[in-house]
Amino acid sequence: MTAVLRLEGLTKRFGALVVSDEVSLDVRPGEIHALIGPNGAGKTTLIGQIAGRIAPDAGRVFLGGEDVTALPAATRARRGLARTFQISALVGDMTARENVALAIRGRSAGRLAPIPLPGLERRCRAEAMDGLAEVGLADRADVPVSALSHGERRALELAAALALEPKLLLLDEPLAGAGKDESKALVKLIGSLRAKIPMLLVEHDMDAVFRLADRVSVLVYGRIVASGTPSEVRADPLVRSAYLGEEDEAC
Amino acid sequence: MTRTRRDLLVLGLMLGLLAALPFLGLPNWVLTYTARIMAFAICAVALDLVLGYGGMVSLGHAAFLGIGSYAAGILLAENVNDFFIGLVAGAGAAGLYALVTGAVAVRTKGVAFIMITLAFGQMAFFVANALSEYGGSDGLTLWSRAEIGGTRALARDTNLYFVILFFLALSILIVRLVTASPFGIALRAARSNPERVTALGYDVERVRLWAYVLAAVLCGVAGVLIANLSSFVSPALMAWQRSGEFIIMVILGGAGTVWGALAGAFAVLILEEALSLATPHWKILFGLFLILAVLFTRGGIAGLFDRSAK
Repeated sequence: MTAVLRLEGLTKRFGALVVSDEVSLDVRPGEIHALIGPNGAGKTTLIGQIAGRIAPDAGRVFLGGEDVTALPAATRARRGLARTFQISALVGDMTARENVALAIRGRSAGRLAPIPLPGLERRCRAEAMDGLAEVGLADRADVPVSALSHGERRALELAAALALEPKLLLLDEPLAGAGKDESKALVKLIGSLRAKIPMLLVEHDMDAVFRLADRVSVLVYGRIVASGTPSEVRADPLVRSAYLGEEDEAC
Repeated sequence: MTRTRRDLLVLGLMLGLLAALPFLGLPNWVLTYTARIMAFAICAVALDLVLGYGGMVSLGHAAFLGIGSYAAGILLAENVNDFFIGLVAGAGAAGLYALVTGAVAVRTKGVAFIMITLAFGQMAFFVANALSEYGGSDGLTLWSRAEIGGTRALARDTNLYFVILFFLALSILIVRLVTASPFGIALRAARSNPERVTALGYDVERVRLWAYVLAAVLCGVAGVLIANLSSFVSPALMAWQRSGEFIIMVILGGAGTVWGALAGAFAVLILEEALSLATPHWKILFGLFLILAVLFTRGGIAGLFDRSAK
């Protein structure tokens, strides 16, 4: 079975600092692969390289077997790579439904048509409602993003990402800034999407990671130091010393 | 929905009023002056697409007006008298300049975008100044207006008035259609969150570039109309102050509404004229008026710059 996402020896240097050090990992169909690591481990830079915002110095990114290393971010999105952002990134002055509709249009051939297309709009509207219902926001469809709660925005980001019908979902700290109850709801939501779409999950909340992930990779100083099932990783002495047990020192 | 209907109602009213104007028996100068405002209003409406909907503060849009004027003026000076040839040349030249300069400009944002559009605008300004064969800094006087189908129909001010009104209405129609289209929605969304829009599969720079080019083409058309109307083209048309004036029109009228740009063009140009008749120091009064308008109208310059800086 080909991996949905495969990184091969991704390397990125900023000056003398090696931020990604020959990172290789893969996400297989039907799994949630979590990437954890202390602050400054290079998670954000790695995500940037996967999404296409940062060009790696060496190594390659494969999406569904296709080499996408040279493709810009927008093209990667159209090839099936959807993402959410660490800080909620939505179009603030549009409603929840308009945000999802924007994503649906994004994968249609008419996304840049210079005249209104009523047929496309009708389809977007209907599909956007379905997408919102999936994340429990059906009754918030016409609320502007600026009036949504933090948890609702997080859920809306998921709906917008899913509306791209992606091959892979890249989640950049989906629980960041969420309260306890909101976190619980989001973990449940992400778990419910597992069968539908493989995910690479970058998250600080260890409870959530160990509850959701099928596999966990640990990134320290730009290098993957351990990779395996949650229980394997938890038991790994190297990980315990570098990260889990002694967070203070690692940070 | 209701907002759209209100916008359309106001637009219809304004255009209807302009269409009725020549039948009111007003002195001729009112007609030619209104025609001049309408031509500038085309630029304001075009800039609204870039600035109001796209969040790009362009300080170089007068260049496209000037390029359109010079294309029309040079053709007339060389005895190519057909109006439509001038129109295509003016719109095409402005669009081409926008395509080349915009490809660079849309890679920047915020203040850098303002400076780079200003620089490209000034380049066109200095080239026009250096065109000694076509009047240089003195400008180029045109001895007759363009011909339509070999007739001198445009020599009549009323006819030219309706031609300009037609192109104003057409520009408004185009901008309204584009802003309601998938392209326009992407442009508007990219104003508030380009990263999100990119992550949804849109090439934001391309969207911005085409909006920039479309606006330039409309400004080029306005330039052709102005050249014919005033029978004179000069580098002053593309001075950067003119670009600033377009921004004032859009912001004063209300960015992102199209009819606001039209209203803004009339407000600014009529006010300038009225104040300059009242006192030679009219710019002080005009400045005061602008400050009040920005302070007491929603969003104003501050809100706009917040959005464009994102």
